[in-house]
Amino acid sequence: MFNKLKNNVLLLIIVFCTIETAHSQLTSSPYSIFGMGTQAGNCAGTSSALGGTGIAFLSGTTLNTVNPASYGGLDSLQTLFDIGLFAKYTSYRTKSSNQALFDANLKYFTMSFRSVPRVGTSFGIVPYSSVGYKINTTSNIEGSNSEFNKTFEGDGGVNKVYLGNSYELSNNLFLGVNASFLFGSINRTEASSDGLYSYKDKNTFSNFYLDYGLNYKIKGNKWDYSIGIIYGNGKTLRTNSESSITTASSFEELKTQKKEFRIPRNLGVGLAVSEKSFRAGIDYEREYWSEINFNQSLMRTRNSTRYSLGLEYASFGNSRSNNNIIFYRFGAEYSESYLIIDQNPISYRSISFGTGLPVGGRLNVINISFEIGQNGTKNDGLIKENFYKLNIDISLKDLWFMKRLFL
Amino acid sequence: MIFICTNYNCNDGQVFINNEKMGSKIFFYLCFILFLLSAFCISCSNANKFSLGSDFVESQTNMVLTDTFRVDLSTVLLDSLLTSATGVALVGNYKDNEFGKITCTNYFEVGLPSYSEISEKAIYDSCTFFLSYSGYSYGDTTALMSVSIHQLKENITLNSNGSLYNVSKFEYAKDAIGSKLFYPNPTSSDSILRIHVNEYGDTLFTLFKNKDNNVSSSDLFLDYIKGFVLTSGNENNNAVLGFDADSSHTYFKIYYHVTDETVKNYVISIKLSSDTRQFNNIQHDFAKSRLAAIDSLANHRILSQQSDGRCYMQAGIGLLPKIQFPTLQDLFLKNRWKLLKADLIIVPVKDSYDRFILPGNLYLYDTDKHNDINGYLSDRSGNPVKGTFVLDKLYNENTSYTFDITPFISNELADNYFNYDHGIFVGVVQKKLYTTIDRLEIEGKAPRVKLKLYYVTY
Repeated sequence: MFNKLKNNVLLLIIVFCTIETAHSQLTSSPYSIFGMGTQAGNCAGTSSALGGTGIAFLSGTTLNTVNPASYGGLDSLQTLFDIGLFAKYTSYRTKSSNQALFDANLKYFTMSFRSVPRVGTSFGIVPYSSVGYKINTTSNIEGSNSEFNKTFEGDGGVNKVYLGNSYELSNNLFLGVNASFLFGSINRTEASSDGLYSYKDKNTFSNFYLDYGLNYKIKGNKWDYSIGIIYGNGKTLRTNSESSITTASSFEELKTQKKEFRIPRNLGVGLAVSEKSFRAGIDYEREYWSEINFNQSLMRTRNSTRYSLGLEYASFGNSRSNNNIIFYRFGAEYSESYLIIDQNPISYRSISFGTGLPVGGRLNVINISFEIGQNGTKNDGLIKENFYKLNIDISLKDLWFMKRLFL
Repeated sequence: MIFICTNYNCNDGQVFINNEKMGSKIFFYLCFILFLLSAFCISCSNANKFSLGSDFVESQTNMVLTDTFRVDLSTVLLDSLLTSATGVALVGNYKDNEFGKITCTNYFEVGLPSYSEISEKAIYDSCTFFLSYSGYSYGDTTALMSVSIHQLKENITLNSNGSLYNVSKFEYAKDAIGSKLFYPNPTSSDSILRIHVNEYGDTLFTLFKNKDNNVSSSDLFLDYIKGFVLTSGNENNNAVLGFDADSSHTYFKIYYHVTDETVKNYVISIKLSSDTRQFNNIQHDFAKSRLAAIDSLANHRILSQQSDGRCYMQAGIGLLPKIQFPTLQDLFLKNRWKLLKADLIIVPVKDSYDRFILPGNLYLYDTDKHNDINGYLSDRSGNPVKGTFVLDKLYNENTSYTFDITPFISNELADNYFNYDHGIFVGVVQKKLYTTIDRLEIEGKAPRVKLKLYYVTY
């Protein structure tokens, strides 16, 4: 009875999470005004506790979405449901002022399982980039000495619904492919604060996208060594632009210039070492954004680079059963983002600590991590963001496939 | 069964045999609650006051103000203005060089009074006509003032649509039945003006005492008495006064007494009877003023260029400034713009309000080629547009009325054609238009009447 109800409710959660993730605002950052917005990075599963590290890690008790080849590490008996939430406090500093914002939202939802022998499958919805800003300014009224208050607002972003499979090509060599559908919209509004007019610009994107990953593990006596590679060929998104202007007495759809949005090529390499209760990995990833021009006068693009490091320790406690494992994680990330604003490259750094606690038996795990970091610079009137972020990732497990096998 | 052993994911099957249903339930509900919480917290963000990042924005829009569109001014004298059944009597005259001479005369009817039979021994004492100040006045109320009351020679008859106008008039006896010379006290609305009409009162008393046929029924009484008119008793009055014109404030009182063992005093009250047949005749004489030519001009309209750049408003006679916009059509030469706000700014002639207080509330009326009044100009919610009045008592520099006429302009622009004939009258509120002779002199040259248009370009 309870199981039936639980399955129905789970299905409901899946549907809701998918819809909600697609609509959730993940960012409140003035920098998200540029380009495709703020990149979500590797935020699914435990990677947020590991500084986004994961190219060479295989999925295990939790899903690793960084490399599609990692699905090959999934346990054969379980179906994993992963839901991620975050709460973030950010203080924004310029040389002269200081403001702060608080955000909280759902991040992603994934499900993964082993579908057939030698094949690990995962699907879900994860964010790719997001836009969220509201900037209040004043602007001169042409032909007068007075000013009016103007508000710039942006929201939306690009999400990724993916279905990925990892094949074990030969012993310990996994090839993974994610087939994704990228979709989303970025809405920008420019309005007089007293509501006299608003100018809206909506860009809707969609396209299919493939990205690939390899993972190879060399087993040693005590230590295992892994190498992972990820690659995506980039893609031009199908874009639909709509603009409109609204005043108290009129509304008009405007003709817009066709804009082009593209996902850049990316290439990443990761190395990992692991033994029974410990693993460590490093990632290097590059995205070739310099080929993409957003036609925003204040910004240029460059190729972005991510360096990250992740450590994980598993404490088995007294029992050797997986039920009581407690994980301790540490991560660090340094990213040179694709943005160069007013000649200032924008980079991101963070460190994170996390723990994974078994809850309620049946291998359910709640992963909690805390991330401290900063983004941007105070030079040339730009903004430095210092943030504190709490990630809660819930990994629910069900034994759908086990039942079939055992009963 | 596939057995994959990754890092520390070495499942041995035993795990699943543990019966931990209770824990599982609790965990499941915990997750569900968390999920619901997040669902209701779709975007917990407090970005409303955020101003950082203003250097990042690239404006697609600009707000532009222009006040260079020409505004045509003229003064229109309406053919007539309804002045009956207003409950207000205007009496007096005033003259100056700006508006010429204005003369107000009030017409009214009285009804047959109810009275008990008058004894043979009754002796007539006196008769007084009573008027109550309404509180309204125009002109110099410190000067000696004269008001007369005359009897009509013909009955007041309504025109076909049941009203009477400022230009309506009826013949009355040249000789007054009474008149009064006084210093007005108009500011106190409960004060009363008494005019003695003793001689006329005696005639009426005799009719009542003798049960004359003329006082035997209301109709016969009305045929006999016709009505009365209050006139400016003197050609050279310096003010117009307002009185309440209704049965409880406008009446004659005939006093008599009867002497038996003691002296008993009696009163007969003859009251204003018909609210609808009470009206004010308001005459103007623009001779020697800038408006002198208006009566002879087509449509009784004088362009501001012919009246020293000024235009004029006077209630009661229907003198209204007309505003038109001859060049707004040029707006359509611009590309990618939307009107946001249209403000009309009117400045009174600088020295025109030393003696006369400026109307605190000015309204705009919609008018057309035929100078018909087609109702108030209204704002977006349908309420009449009222001018925002600024009185610069100190320097007289910044006194102005500002009207938000955005709906008028945007409606007129909506069909991509601006109709020049669709104009605006400036006036006081409708009731005051009919019951006062308030005035306003609008400056047309320096500073001129301005139309401030705010629009957005994109």
